[in-house]
Amino acid sequence: MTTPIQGLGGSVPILPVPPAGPTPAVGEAGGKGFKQILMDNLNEVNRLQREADQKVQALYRGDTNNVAEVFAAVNKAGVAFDLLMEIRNKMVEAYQEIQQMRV
Amino acid sequence: MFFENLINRGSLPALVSTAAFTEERHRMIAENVANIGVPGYKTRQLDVKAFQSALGRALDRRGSDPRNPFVLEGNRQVRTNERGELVVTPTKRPVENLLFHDGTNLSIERQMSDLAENAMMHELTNTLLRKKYDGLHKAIRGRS
Amino acid sequence: MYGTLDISTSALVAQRRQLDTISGNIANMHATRDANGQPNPYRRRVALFATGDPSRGRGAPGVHVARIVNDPSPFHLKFDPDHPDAVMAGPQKGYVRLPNVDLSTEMVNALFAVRAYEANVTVMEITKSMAASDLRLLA
Repeated sequence: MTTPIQGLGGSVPILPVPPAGPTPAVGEAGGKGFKQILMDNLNEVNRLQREADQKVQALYRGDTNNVAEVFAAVNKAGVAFDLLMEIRNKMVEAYQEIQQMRV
Repeated sequence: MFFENLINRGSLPALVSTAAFTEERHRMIAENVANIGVPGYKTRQLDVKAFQSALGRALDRRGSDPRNPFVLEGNRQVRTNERGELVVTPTKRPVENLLFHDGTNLSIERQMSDLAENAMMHELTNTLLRKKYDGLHKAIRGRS
Repeated sequence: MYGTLDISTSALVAQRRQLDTISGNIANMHATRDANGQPNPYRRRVALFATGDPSRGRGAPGVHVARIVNDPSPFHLKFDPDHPDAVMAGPQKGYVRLPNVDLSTEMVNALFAVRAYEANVTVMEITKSMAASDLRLLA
């Protein structure tokens, strides 16, 4: 649909960008900020580690008999933790790179 | 649920269920073999085909979205409980109609062959699981 | 996985008791006198198996020897009037009462017990290798 060409600065006022509550760490692309993602992931990793711990305890207390599921939970927590560490490393690298930029 | 999606995707939950199932089935076969010579003992069975079709149904129900739960149900022998654990209920219904003179239907040959086959399935599943976890770790680190 | 080892162990214990019983029968198959020297032939003993392992609690899976009972079947009679334990009077005069043990039966039972023992040892080996393979998931 074509609109007739109009003069600039007429119908589309230029608004200042409103401050968006708690400042997102890096510019968001229509989703959560990195900080929020990091916090969510941290909580989830925590939850998975706790679950794995509980399953191991259940194994040793004799509540469960199934080793396969306990080991699966332990591995799951391990992979999640690894991923979190790697995200953190990459973020630190990115931050350092930005710091070294000549402005 | 970022990590849940990562872990629930693809064949991983099916592999974990199969490893749990083969472990339970091994325990049941061990009990059968221990009861060789007990008069009137009727062997217990866990039907592998029933498990596999329940697994297939669970995979279909989850579909391609890893946020859907992966749950085994609709089967009298295997099901997933509220905590996500596998619960098995072996049946006494015999696979083949045997009856020996002492009233038992236990065939050592059948039990030993089931034992070997089940153990192989368990080993295979663990190997595949190991490969999956290693693959995830490698992908995370970006290098071997 | 360790509970599974207990199941197989209970079977090994039970089969060994079975073999002990059989060995006792074979050893005593010619004993016409009891431990006190009285003319009382040895009576065959039979180990009765039952499901479950009470030594590990009620309802624990496995197997155990519930009881060892005497075989009530009649003694063998052999005509041998010169034998010191021959019957002196009555319809069985001149016959010796021998233990109701039949060697071929005992041997067949012993073979069965050995086969059952070996089958359970095989199960234990496989239990151990499955546990090792589970551990490799973590390593």
